Amino acid sequence: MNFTPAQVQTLAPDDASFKAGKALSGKNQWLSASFTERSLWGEIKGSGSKPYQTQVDINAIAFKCSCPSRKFPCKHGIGLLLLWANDPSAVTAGTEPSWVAEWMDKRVAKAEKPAEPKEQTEEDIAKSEKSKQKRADERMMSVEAGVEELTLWMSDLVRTGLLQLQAKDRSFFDKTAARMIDAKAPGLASWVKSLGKINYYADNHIWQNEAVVILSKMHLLTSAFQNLANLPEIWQQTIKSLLGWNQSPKELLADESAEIIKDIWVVVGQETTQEEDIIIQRSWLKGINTQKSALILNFGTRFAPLDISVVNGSILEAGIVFFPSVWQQRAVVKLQNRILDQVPKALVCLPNINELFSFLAATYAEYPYASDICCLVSGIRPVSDQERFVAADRDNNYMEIAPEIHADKMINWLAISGGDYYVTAMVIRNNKMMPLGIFMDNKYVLI
Amino acid sequence: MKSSWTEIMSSALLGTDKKPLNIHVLPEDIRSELLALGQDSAEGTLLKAAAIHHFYNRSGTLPDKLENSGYRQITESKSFIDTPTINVFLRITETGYFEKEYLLRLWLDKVIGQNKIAAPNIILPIINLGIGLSKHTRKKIMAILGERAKAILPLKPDFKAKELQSNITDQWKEGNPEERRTFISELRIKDVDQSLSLIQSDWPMETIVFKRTIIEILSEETQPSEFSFLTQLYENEFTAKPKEKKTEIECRSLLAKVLLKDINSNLFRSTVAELQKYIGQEKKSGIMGLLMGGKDKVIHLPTVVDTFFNAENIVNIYGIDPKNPDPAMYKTDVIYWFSALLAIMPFDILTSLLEKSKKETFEYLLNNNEFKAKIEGKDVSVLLNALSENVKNYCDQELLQMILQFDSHERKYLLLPYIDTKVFEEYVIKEKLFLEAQVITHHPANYEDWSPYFSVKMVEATYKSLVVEKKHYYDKINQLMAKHLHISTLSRLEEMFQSAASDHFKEYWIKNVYQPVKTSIEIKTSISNL
Repeated sequence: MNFTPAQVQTLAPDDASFKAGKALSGKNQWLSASFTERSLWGEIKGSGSKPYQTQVDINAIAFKCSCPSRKFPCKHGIGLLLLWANDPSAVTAGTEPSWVAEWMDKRVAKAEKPAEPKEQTEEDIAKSEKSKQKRADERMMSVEAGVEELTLWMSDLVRTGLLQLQAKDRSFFDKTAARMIDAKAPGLASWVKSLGKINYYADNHIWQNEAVVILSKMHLLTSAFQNLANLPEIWQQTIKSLLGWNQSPKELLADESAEIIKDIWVVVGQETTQEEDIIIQRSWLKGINTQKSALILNFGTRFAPLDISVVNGSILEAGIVFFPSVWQQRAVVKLQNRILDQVPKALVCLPNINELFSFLAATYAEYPYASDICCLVSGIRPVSDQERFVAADRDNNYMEIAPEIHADKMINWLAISGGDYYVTAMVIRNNKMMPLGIFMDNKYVLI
Repeated sequence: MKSSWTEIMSSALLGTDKKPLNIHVLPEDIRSELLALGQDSAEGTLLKAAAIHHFYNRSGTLPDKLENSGYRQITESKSFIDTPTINVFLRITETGYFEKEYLLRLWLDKVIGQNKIAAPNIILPIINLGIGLSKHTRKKIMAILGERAKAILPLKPDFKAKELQSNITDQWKEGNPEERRTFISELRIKDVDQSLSLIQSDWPMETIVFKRTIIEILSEETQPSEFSFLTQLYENEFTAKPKEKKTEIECRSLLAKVLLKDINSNLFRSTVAELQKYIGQEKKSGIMGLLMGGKDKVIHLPTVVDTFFNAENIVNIYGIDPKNPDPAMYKTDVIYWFSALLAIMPFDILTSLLEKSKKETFEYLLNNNEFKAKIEGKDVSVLLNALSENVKNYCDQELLQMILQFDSHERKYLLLPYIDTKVFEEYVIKEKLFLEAQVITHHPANYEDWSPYFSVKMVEATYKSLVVEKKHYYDKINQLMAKHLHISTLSRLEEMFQSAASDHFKEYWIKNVYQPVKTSIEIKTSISNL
């Protein structure tokens, strides 16, 4: 697997670390640098008497370094990976020294055999189950009360007319959102917040439509919850998840019955956003054989950095487990075997934008709350059309670009593709396209 | 369909109290779906209808079509740069602000020399890097942009590609004064006849201020074809006349300076003839005079203004700013006007009239009591300012070296931009001025490396100051070293890195000298190996 400097950049904890790493990416700076199929390591002179020993697990990305830095990965790890990315010939194939082999073996063993759960007596299990049930009942009651309160709030709004929304200040929405948090329904709180975030200074037609659509979706959701007992198990889980019941990756990974979808997964794109103090990283994966799409959510804070094992633009041979849902999207990586250099076979993708629209319609019919729909569409090119960018196909059908996409990203797409048609990976958000990358020959190129 | 959605919207906006939803206006599919969901309140019914209608609409929406596809297949006539060249570029992007443009230009020259174009993945980074850089650098960037890159340039208006691309007529006819100035300066380097032809054709329409700008441009390394045009201006348009504007006098001054450089010009000849009148002879002084006898040529200036050395005449002929002479400095007005003339005429006129070497003439002018004044109790040569100005006009390196040995620090610094590389480096080494940022900034090598010897001297001096003597100096020196140190300096730098014990000052040196210089040298080496 050859990393690109852009991919290495995504692994750096901050810009300063990347810059510092870049300064250490010269061949002459490393006393030694070698690799095997699973690891990359090197020694570099630091301020101490002994050189620092830096090592990287190149399949399930992980770093280790003997330097005292508190940043993770440190500049040496970034520098070593950059050295390899920029000039693979500068790193020689070798045999792992003991300090690398020991660390790698431990990692492999841990991945293959997760830690055994603590032994529990029957009494312990019964006690734990009872307390779990009690918590679940309490949560259900709390959410039911929240849903009831929200239903009333929405009814009042609709009864008295949505024209009043324009005159409401932010606290009107924040207050209700906070009540939903108190009711342990953070999913509903997000919907209320999104209603508050509408640009009420935009054209009347725009904000009024947005408000009605959001409220109508909220109503569908609260109605579905009120009818929860009559729904199939999978729908119950889906509705509860939409309302804010946590999905624990740890529990999912521990669940032996969860189906592992083994495939070659292309990490087609990544987006990092910050909400209050929490950094949220979304990684979209596309399975080459299964054609499944997966969303890996990764959370971090100032004190707990993001997990960096899923590298943007990489091609992983991995096993993925999906959270149960009517429309499977969120997943976790359970087994990561290796990283590939190129896509091993022809891609199956939607042939044009017309078909993409049909696919989206079918998706919403199956699951109206589908969002961030990840697709591959062939024959797509970027077009700069009257001071805006769109993505068009060979029939000249086009789709607008999501406002989150910076103009430079579109320009880069134009530069890389030369304005020509390529298989394009994208996420559809709010009926607009977020282009992520294109497939050129057997390579996946991020844009 | 639109009317049913409008119906839903109007009920939602006005409120179901005022306007409950009439479900009969909804399409049959939506109505039946709604009825299947069962009874609900008026508000619930409205929101359900809205939700179903929304998805119903969305599933039936067809994509929009472009009116003009504008598609064209782009083919490149040149090949893209290879991966090692891309990697060097990526390293340049990470260097410090001060050395970045310098290294980029070296890299661009290499790529231009290879007749290759920027690879697709660095097109955007290189255009973004070019934003805010000099026009000269951006032009070099333009030279390595292929067809696909040029197609996206209009999308990056901050790069200001238009001012680099527009044709001659556009830039000259429609540009602002600054653009026109830049344009004509550059055209003059490439095609002096074309630039002169453009200047002459539009001359009558130009403002007096822009005329002065053009004369300034033509004063730099004036070409033979330009001399006749400038002579014509001097003898006609800018000849002295009553009630002149200040700018007109300034134009005459610029023209006089140019014509004095041409030994065939009337002005040169008439100036020599006028000065000849003030050259006299006197017995040689000192032992040599006693032993050898003979006479020295000397300058005999009148004590009061005459027909040549008077304000009106000097302004009319040479356009020199008619200031009132400072009586404390100049014993007579004639000395003042002589000094003003000395500043703009070729020094060789005096050496030839006095029949002395340049050094002898310089010493004669500086040591002659006639040309000395007592300022704050000290004897000061009143001609030193004029000689410094003369150096600025003629860049006479021999004269400049003589002044450097003689003059005050303040004035020396003013002359530094006129020194050539060899003289500059010798001067800095001799005077040990390595840590004087004000001096080193004026090293004449703008887009070149310093000499290997000078580079090593700089590295040693800064290391000694920082690591050995623990003394900080102005950071600008480090920035200049990162740009200009010769690549052969790296080995000396590495020796220093290995030798000193680790402390705060060594850390500072590593961070601010060793690392940036090393990176810069590595990049320069990589560029030369491409």
